[in-house]
Amino acid sequence: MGSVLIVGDGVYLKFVCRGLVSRGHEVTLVVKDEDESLRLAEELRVVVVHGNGTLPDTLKEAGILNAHRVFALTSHDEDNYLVCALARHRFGIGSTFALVHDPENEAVFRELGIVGTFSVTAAVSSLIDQRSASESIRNLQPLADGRFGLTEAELGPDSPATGKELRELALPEGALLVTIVRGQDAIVPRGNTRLELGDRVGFIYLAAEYARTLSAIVGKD
Amino acid sequence: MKNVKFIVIVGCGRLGGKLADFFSIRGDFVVVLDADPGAFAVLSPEFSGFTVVGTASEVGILKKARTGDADLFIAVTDNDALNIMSAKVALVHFSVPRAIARIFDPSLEGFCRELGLEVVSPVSATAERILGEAVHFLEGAV
Repeated sequence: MGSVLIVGDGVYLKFVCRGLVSRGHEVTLVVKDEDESLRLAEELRVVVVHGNGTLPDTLKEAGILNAHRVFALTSHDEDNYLVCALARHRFGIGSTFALVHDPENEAVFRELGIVGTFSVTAAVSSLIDQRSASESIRNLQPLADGRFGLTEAELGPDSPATGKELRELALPEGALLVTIVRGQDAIVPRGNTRLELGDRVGFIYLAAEYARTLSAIVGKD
Repeated sequence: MKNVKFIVIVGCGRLGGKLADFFSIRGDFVVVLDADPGAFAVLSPEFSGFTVVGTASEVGILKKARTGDADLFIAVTDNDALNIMSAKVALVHFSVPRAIARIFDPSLEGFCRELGLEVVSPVSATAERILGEAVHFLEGAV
């Protein structure tokens, strides 16, 4: 499984750590605030280092040289950038992951060479979009750092896809319909597969094509 | 015709304010950015540039400060990480030709140079200066 070094703070940190530990990861935490670091050390069965994780010496002290992965989960984008940049360039850690708060920073971090990012704001807004769009849509899953999305939706009587063969659908270029669940059957569709009322269809799409893909398959509410 | 430069300064503290005044009075085009609207009070009445309120870790705020048009980007907030990230974003995302970051922690200095940033470290600079004076004094005294 390998060891994970996390520099972080805030409400999610405890739950992320717990999740990783329960999956068998060996976790070391670096926390800036002293009270928070003591609290986490008591609550979690992981090593907690109290210190400023944006400094090379603190990272070394926390054992970054033995870490397989580094996660930067603080509430400040600039700290998360610096942690990942140090991990990659100074310590040669190939697998780094940064939490970003300004959604525009997702693309900027990629430009700066920080490969793995997760935008809290984008995730929360897409969940809200998803909930408000329709009760029949679920499993919105970002793929490849959010560049693709994966969604499952149920075809209703007014859905444009209902009753059509797959090849007749006016899907955007950046979208594919990839799964159908019909009653007990799971079907991988071909061009001549006809979609039926009540089918639960799964589709992937480029993030920017979400709205157009959804309206081509399920239609508007 | 004078060659007017466009300079973006992040952080309007004592140093940022002084730099902003200097370049503005010299006739350059200056935008100074700070998260605290009260920070601009340090600017002199002769300052004729623009002020932008916001955090430099947001690309939208850097855009608002017209970072893309800058000839020089200077990051002098009291936050090392913010100075480093905003200067790097200025270089890479906005293609600014030169970016200078002030760094308080000397252990980040070498790393910042590896990132292509020009670094000013008050601690190292002051230490060098004092060391120079001390050596001069000690050796001069012999």
